[in-house]
Amino acid sequence: MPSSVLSNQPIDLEPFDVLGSGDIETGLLTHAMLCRESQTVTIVLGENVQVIDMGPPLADCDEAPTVAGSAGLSEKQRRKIKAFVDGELSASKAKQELSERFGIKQYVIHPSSVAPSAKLPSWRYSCVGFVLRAYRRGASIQLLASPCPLKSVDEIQVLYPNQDLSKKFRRKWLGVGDGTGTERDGVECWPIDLVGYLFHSLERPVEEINGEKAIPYQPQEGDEFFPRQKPETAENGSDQVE
Amino acid sequence: MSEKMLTHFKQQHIQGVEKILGGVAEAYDENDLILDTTLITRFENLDLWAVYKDEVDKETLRKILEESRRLKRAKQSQFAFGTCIFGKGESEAKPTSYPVLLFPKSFQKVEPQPPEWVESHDEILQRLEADDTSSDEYEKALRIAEITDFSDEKIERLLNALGRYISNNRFASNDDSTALLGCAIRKYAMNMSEEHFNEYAKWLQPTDTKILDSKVELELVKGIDSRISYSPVALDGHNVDEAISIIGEVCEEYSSRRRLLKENHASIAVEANHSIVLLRLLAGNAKKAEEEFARAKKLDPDWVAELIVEQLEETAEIMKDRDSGTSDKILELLKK
Repeated sequence: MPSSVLSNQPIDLEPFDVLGSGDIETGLLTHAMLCRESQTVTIVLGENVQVIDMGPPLADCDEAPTVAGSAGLSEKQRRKIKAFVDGELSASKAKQELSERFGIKQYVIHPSSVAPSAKLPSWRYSCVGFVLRAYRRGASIQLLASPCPLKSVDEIQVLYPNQDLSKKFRRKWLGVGDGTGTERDGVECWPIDLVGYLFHSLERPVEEINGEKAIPYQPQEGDEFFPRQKPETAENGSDQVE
Repeated sequence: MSEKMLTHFKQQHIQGVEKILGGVAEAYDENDLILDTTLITRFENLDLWAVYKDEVDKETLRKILEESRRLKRAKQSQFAFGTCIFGKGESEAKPTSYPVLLFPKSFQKVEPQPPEWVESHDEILQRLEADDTSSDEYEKALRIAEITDFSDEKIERLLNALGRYISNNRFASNDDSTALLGCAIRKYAMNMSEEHFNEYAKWLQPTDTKILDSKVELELVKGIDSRISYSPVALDGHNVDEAISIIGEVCEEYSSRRRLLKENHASIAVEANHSIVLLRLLAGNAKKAEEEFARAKKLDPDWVAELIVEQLEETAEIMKDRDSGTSDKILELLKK
């Protein structure tokens, strides 16, 4: 199964397929997850499925995805991803308490995953970062190439709607602190890993994603939407879907 | 939605926001104004905002702002509402237009707040050190300590307090206790110096009557593995044989198919085998590292061995800039 937008037509999901959710009308994707079902399930749009996602915190829950993608994982790759996920989940209960009781969320937007340090001794991820590392560590699949397209704070705010970027200290904590980006047309920007990119990567033939001939996908402008939207220009003036 | 309609829609909302902000400014001294996300809790979403924008009176706004003051201590929480939703202005060219209705839903909720003493390292440490700290306060202090950047002169105090907690609680088995213990273990591991490695590893040992819960065992092996993978290590003059020996026992224990297929056990085996190979290399014993690696590669099922190899590859990449010597040694080992 390449990447599919869910509809009323049933589709099969396999354990650890990549799932996403976002705006159904426009195709702008804002959350990434992994299918946590233990066997194949068949769903339609609006139905819940067991997932593991970097909420934050990283947790098992039920979600209704709007898009799904498969890398054609082997049974062994799935088992390896499970071992990786089990290891990461060990710290998740503590993070959940931290989030629920004190509003402190160990989330990061850029880079999409950050290794442990003396200050923060657990891996931190964005929802995309968790999926990317699970596939890289568990299945030796590198879904995305770098650099990703640049995005401004205003754009990142829309693309990561559950993160509050209105405050300076929050932006710094999330990896998009003032003065750390690259200038684009006078506006500070960052090469952010986005949810939509995952599904454009998984849209390719399986041999390009998984196996000896696999190559990471190079995201392009408009890939935050699935299907892709062409960047808006003064000439066309409106959203266009390919 | 057509571009014309979208523009009209945005203008309507901007006018609504401006009207409300104007009302707030009249009612309050401008210097006192704290406008933050709490304001948005009055409105379920932008559609509702459109309905309410002409009806909200100053009294409602006053209540919202009072609530905002109560909940937010800092005055720096100016929230650029229009900027957040619409970008910096209508004339600014944007590469892609995003749907205007995708407003952050989490902003509508009032976030829980950390305790007052969250930024005082001394207050956190005092709570971890005192014998009469209530369990609730201790739990808060431990959770906050995990994500606090303690200064060098306070690290020893932190390690003593965490070490005492880990020693006293390492045989915990219920989920709440092991989660809390995990906070202490992770923080201790990433802040310990090389001289603590042997003592740390002893926490992995069972007693004559008790054995560690697998979740605790996983945290402990992950802890030392993260410490040597992601932080600088200088083993010159430090004998870590005891740590190597104890982690070796864990590797041996988690080496059968029957064991490895149980929950968490493959993860323990991967972390333990990865850390023993890396410790051997860091200790300058390439020959022993090779032996450990050869043993790890024979693990059955083979996907466990593959995970160890892949983790070593990742570590070589991560260490490339910090410790190119060890990174090269890992790469050499992987070729064998």
